[in-house]
Amino acid sequence: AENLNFAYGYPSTSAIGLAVDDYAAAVKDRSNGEISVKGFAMSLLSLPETSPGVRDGLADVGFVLTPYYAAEYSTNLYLHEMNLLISLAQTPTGKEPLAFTGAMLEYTFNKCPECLAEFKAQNQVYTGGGVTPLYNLLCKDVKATTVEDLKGKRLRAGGAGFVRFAEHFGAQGVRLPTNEVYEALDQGILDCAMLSAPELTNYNLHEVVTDITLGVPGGAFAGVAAANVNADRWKAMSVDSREALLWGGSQMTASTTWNFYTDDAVAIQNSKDKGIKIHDPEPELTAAVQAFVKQDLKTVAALFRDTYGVARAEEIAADFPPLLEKWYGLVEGVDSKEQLQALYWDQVISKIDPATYAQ
Amino acid sequence: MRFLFEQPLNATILYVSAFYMVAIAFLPLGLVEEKNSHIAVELLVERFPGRVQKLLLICATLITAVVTAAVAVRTGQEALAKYATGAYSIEAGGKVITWPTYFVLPVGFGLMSVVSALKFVALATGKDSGLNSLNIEDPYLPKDTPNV
Amino acid sequence: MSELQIAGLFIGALFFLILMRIPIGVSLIAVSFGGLWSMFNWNIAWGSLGIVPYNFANSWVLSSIPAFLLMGFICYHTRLTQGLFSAAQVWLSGLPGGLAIASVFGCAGFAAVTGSSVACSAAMGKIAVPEMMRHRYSAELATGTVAAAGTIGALIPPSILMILYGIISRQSVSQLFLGGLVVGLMTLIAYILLILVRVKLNPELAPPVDIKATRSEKIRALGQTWPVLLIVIGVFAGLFGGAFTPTEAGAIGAMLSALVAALYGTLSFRALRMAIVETLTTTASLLIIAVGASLLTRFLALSGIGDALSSSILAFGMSPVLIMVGVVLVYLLLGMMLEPVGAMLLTLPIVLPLVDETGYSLLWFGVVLVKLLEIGMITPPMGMNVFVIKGVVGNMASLTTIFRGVFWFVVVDLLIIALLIAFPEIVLFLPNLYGM
Ligand code: NA
Ligand code: NA
Repeated sequence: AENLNFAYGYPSTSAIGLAVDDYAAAVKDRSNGEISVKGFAMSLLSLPETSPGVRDGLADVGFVLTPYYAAEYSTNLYLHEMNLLISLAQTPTGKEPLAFTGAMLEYTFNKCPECLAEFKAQNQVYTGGGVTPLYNLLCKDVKATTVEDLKGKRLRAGGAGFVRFAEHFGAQGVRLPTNEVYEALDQGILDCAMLSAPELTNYNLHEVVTDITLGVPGGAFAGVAAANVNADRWKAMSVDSREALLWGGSQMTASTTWNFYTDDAVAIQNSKDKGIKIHDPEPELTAAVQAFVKQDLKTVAALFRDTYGVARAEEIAADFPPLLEKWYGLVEGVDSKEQLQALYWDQVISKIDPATYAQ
Repeated sequence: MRFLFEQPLNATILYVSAFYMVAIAFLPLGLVEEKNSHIAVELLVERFPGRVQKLLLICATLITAVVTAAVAVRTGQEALAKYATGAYSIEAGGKVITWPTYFVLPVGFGLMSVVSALKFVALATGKDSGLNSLNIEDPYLPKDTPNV
Repeated sequence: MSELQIAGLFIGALFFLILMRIPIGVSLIAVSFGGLWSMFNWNIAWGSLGIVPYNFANSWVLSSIPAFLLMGFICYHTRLTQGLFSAAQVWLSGLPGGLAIASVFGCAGFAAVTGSSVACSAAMGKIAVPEMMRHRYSAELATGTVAAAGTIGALIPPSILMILYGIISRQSVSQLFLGGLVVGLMTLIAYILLILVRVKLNPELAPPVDIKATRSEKIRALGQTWPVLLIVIGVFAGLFGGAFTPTEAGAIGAMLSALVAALYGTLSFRALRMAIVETLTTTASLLIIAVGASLLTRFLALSGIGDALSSSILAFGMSPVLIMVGVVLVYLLLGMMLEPVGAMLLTLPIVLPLVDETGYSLLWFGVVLVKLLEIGMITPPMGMNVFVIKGVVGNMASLTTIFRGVFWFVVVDLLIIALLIAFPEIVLFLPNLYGM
């Protein structure tokens, strides 16, 4: 029997905490009770500590965010930067994050030896990913639905890409940790925060937000390795146990992404019920955002090639969009977490050979 | 702060947390040790006879030297690894190199270890450690003993 | 040996090392390392030393602590606070323990600016303690008052602990703030009553200040308070006017103090240098303890202490009140060793479902929890607020003296906790009035 500790830097009731519960059940079931997984919410490793913590064995499995370690995970991070493509979807259905997760999973496992090498160098084995819902503008006392509206506004920006977005539209990108957004909006330091809708609930932002503009700036957070396993632990396991962890990886990926996807719908409905005004962007703003995205994808490719050492940046930029298109088709009929898990397993993870993977 | 500068301070959080906070947390450790300002509980020890107190002090200094040396070595390994990968943070203007901030820890804990090792040698051999505490006289307080 | 027994053994070792006058931070690091090594293996123990210290200090929110320390040290070394205390002396001279009471009010004022009690004690420690000692207050009363009053910093909004609790338990932060405001003000009044009673019973604690001031002298004394008032008003106006966040308030306060001292004519290079050196050493001596405490939390998390906690809470019985008594005792025990954030992260996944079942509201529990965690800030052997005061007063008082000084404040705190459990409406009436 094996006992694995799973560290994740989120509350146990969050989308991720619930996904870890699913992971533990899936792994136990698949291994015929041989492997038990115990979740540690925030107490064992904080978000930035999770990657080195799994590396050194403080946890056996961890929910790793690659953007904390740009130098170590530059290629993985570049795949995450492809998330802007979501904003270019011809006929948006809301399921774009589900498709992006699949595309990223497939690309990482099958077409990105550099990505797997980056995890190997950190003594970790990648078994799954996950993607948040679309980013929106969560504003206080500000309606931002046109290009003109954005001028001079102060927008909370989680990363460098969002700062470029803000500056492109004549706004100011303010870097603030998510847990300071509440007070910053309340005090008028920020006009809007660029965050996904579930953060309205997670950080109680619905208490201060008055207006939401959906799908601007768009894009999603995809810099996630949702169930990285300590490589020493992995190598010491039987082939059957490894297969069970890969199965768990497909569950973790599906649960994380699905929980976020459903949280998104719930959070937006709750906001409506609380009297928060929900806006769609004017067509001219949507068009301007798409123009920015096209330009920014080029900027990002050049940055990663020249500054962050991703030699294949242009090649990846060319390979990725067709793969994403394929996944838009694959997720069309998906209506449940179970279907999503089956899809990720059948299409990608079942084809990984547990005997030879990550040796 | 934004009112003062009216500029997008994009990397402010990075500079404050990774550069300023890490430096201010660990660099002064040696100075703290030199001034005997590390926080410790005297409750029990101050009731012991002088010889026992001195013996305990020698032990405490040695333990401090060993523990902080271990932390210095381990954080030093981590810093070298960060140097080897060229750790950086992605900021709006490109990248900000962060690996030097990791070297603050081996330096800070290393200095604390060296100071306590010198103190240990001085205490064990009864010689002067050569450490001249940076005692800053406080002109503002009465010299007479407080009403304890 | 079971993992829990190993944990117990190493906690025992921790107490032993601390009592043998090993620096507290060093004791915590050594025990956590040894514990991880014996419970697991060398790699995990050795790895933790490389991971935790850097990531702990690499924090934006933490940066408010050295900033508030610097503000306190500048105010002290440039004598900006003298005027305030002369005024307090003149106006409160009839009141037993007038300066201690003025300090409690000062802490409550800072509490509204800063989100953590360490920052609050840091700002007030250097301002108030030396002034009280100059007026021959007992060291116990002087230091104990400020260490305890600092805890109001996390009760009166803003409060980092309540924001964190709100995120973990999905409770409304603004309602938690309202509940915290009530309990913070309750604590303020209770502390003042305590000081009045203690000094009345034992005037030695705070020798009466015998000043017969005329009305015009009293008014003139008020005029002397302008430097501190200017700083406090500046910080408040900026905070509520939306110019900066609570984390930035400390830095603004420090800059403003230096500016006001320049206006006041007491800003010298020497004063500034002393303030900076003391800020550096105090910050480092506090953070090495916080880093050690953070390491200890990982060790305890891996030892499976969580499950042991829930069974020991349930051992008190199944009635809601008995479960709450169990919860209170567990947090008092944990508060002796852990710092609040670690204790919260370690226990909430286990304690929240338990509390939910008792029928007490999670909103109410958030406020009670913060009060409990704040008691832990002043109980030995690990009492961060007490360490802060020790850090800022240097050789004027020993840790033992300060811990003795907070004793009666802890007793009063426990009475408040009992009241909150008996009458949950105390916490809930304001949030209910305002929300929903
Ligand atoms: Na506060
Ligand atoms: Na304590």
